[in-house]
Amino acid sequence: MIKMIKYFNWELKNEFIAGAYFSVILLTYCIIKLILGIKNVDILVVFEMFLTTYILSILQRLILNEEKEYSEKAFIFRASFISVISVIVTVVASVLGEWFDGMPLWAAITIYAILIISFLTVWVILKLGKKYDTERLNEQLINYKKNNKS
Amino acid sequence: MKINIDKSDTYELEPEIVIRCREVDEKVHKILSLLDMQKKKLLGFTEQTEHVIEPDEVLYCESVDGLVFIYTINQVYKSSYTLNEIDNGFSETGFFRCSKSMVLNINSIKSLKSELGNRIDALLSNGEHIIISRHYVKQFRIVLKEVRSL
Repeated sequence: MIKMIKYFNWELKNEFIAGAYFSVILLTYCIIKLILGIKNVDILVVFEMFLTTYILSILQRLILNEEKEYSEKAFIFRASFISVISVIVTVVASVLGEWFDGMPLWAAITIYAILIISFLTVWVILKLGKKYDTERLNEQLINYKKNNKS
Repeated sequence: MKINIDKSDTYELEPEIVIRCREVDEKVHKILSLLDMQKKKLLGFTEQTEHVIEPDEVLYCESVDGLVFIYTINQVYKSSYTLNEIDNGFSETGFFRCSKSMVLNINSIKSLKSELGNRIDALLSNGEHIIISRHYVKQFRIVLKEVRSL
């Protein structure tokens, strides 16, 4: 029973991450289609997109297991590996699924670029977040020491 | 081990504890250590010598192969406490369980750095780095904030 609950929790998180990736990729795809004057999206492409993002989510959670502790170097290496593998998986899926069939090359390049920019943005936000968190932690530490002495 | 409580109105107000034994063994050390905890002081051992350690002097306490060691800037002491006893007995003086095998004195932290993977790197006053593991980070943040709001 505990194993089943653990599996459901794992699966739920998987779907959440996959859902987030799926929304971004589908939204971008739809915007590009609209720019090109196309007002419909192939349901098979949508399904393939979801499968791809689901695979990305599983890979991410396997490579960067949240139950495990990683050193900073190992964390950066694994996260970079996820970024590279995600781009490769998306490119392969889009070619095999013919997502950009009949569309100009820039449409495919835009999607891939947005994917890479998204990963880079996550890294920048993470870096800035850590910097802010460090400052806040040190402020709290100073206050802690002050209050503990008085 | 026999425990006798001799109660009389003729005795002084401050209770007196006398330990009668053939030799000062581990059990006696344990009793002395627990009694010292009441005075908010730690008892450590180097070779055959006992030392009363002020909590302020302690950097951290670490469990190695079932033995708990107390680290100060100049000395490492063996102790007969468990990490739980130290954590529970000295949490008010700034001691915090930062990993399965370590209790850290927050007052000995020089600075903190937020790390990837939701961990915190604590730089101690002796230049040593201690990692506050992901499982204890949430509680650590609460401890820092709680005192702040006092």
